[in-house]
Amino acid sequence: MRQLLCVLPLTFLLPGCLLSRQTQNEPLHADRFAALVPGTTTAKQTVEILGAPTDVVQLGRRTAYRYEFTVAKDSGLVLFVVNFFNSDTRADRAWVFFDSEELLTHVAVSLHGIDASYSMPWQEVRDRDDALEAASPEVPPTAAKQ
Amino acid sequence: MLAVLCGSCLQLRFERDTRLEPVSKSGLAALTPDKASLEDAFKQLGPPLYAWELPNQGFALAWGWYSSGHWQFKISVPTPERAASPYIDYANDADHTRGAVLFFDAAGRLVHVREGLIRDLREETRLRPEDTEAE
Repeated sequence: MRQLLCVLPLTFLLPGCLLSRQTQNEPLHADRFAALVPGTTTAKQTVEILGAPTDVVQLGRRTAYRYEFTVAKDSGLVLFVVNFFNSDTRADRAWVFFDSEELLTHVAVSLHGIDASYSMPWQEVRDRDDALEAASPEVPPTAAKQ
Repeated sequence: MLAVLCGSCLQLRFERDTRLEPVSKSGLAALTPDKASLEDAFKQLGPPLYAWELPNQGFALAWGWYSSGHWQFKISVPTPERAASPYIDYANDADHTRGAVLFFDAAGRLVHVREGLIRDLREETRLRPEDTEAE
């Protein structure tokens, strides 16, 4: 009983941590996009290679298909009264454009889903040197580069 | 010990939320209206977040990202009926993605660039159903 009473305060001192990961859709594969040839590949062939798009948008006489895979990694540190939470969301995204004849004209791909990280709010997760202004107040001045 | 006792009803929390990739400032600056093409835009900025139709066969593409960090102070007060949790949030109400929207003509040539909240720019310029009928 005495040992239990000694250990009990220690459990209060141990910080609580949480980690969670959510994904949406399927990851994109670079090699499949390499098979797309502008001016030759049709919309039908594109769907056979890449699968069904996440979204289809009509843009005048053009049509554009969007493919997207999203990963969100959340982490937290719970220290009784003071808690820290971080959420990092990244994506694999691709757009393929077709002309009025449904022939591929443009492909744009970026694969960053794998880069989502579990980190703390004071760890920098993006290179902001060349970044356009983001939405809201940044991490406080105490933030340090990793 | 006080912190342990207060942990369930008082919370001071810092939350950071980062979504997607920063939009390149130099990449955007390299795109000149009346000169840059759709291909140039993809080369400089990568794939866009959104695309939508404009009048006269034109279209708009949006690039953006989101980053916020703010403190939040929360007090939970249990009452016999139910627990009340008033809290003060020091963050701006900035649940929007900020970035740039590029406007292209029917030939896929860049005609105009605007920066700001994507949601607002999208609402301002989105093709209305009556525009489609007019065409």
